[in-house]
Amino acid sequence: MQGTNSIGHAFYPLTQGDVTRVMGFYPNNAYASILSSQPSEIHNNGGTMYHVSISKNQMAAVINYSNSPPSTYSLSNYNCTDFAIAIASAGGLTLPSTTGSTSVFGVMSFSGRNPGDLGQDVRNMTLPTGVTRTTTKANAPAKEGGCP
Amino acid sequence: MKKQLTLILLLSCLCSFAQKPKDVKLINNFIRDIYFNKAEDKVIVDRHILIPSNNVLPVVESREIMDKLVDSLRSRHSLLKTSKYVITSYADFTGEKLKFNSKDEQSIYIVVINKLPEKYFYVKNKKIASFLTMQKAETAYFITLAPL
Repeated sequence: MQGTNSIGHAFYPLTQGDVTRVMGFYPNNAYASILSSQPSEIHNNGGTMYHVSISKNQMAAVINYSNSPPSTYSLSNYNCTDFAIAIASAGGLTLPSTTGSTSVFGVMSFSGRNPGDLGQDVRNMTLPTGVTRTTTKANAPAKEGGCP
Repeated sequence: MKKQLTLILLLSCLCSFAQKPKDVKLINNFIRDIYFNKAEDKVIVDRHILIPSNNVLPVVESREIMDKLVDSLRSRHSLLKTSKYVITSYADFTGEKLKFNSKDEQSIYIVVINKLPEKYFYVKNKKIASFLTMQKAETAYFITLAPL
């Protein structure tokens, strides 16, 4: 989740042996529609800066979910934060799902789950057993290794 | 067949080449109307802004939102009123710039002041589709009311 002067972003890394992938959920065009959904795509977020992270070792279920991401992206109804929450849930980690509102020039606003609220929730949540959290700014690992 | 393909590619390149000056003129007229001609918001929207024709939001409401966004733009980017600016295509600007989804780069233009990007525009069907941007990690997106 990041950053100043941006609406932030939620993404997740997967590491198995020498192979690392860091993935995020995005719209598939140069624009994002406020009022309706559009086709989605997964981007490599290797090296992307984050401010809060949470991790749990549940690889198989997460990989299964990652292999079939939702086909549509929606700023209000299913964005990168919804995807990250769903990935965590697939891995057996229930994250808070706060809905917030973002204003565009004070003229119109859209509401939905967002990286800022999720970041605050993760900072404040009580951690289940086996879950670790970091609240120090760092960069995600780079994409490494080839998949068979 | 090869000759036909070459001709089609050549025509496609020529069309793209011919469109660029028109898009630059469109953006320049938009800026002139906002900051120098003090045209009415409704007139500016009618002349320059693309209102998506779909069922997401009634056209009347879309126009009202765009009127307000144009109005709010007047109080921003005051440098445009006082400085010399250059409008360039995204590809032609070689300085540091926002990184967008590359599929649509040919639709993106940058207003540059003192060799720095001041404002980004997304042009579609000879109209301005968006002049609002947001950033998700390293990737920037234009905000639109509905899919284009």
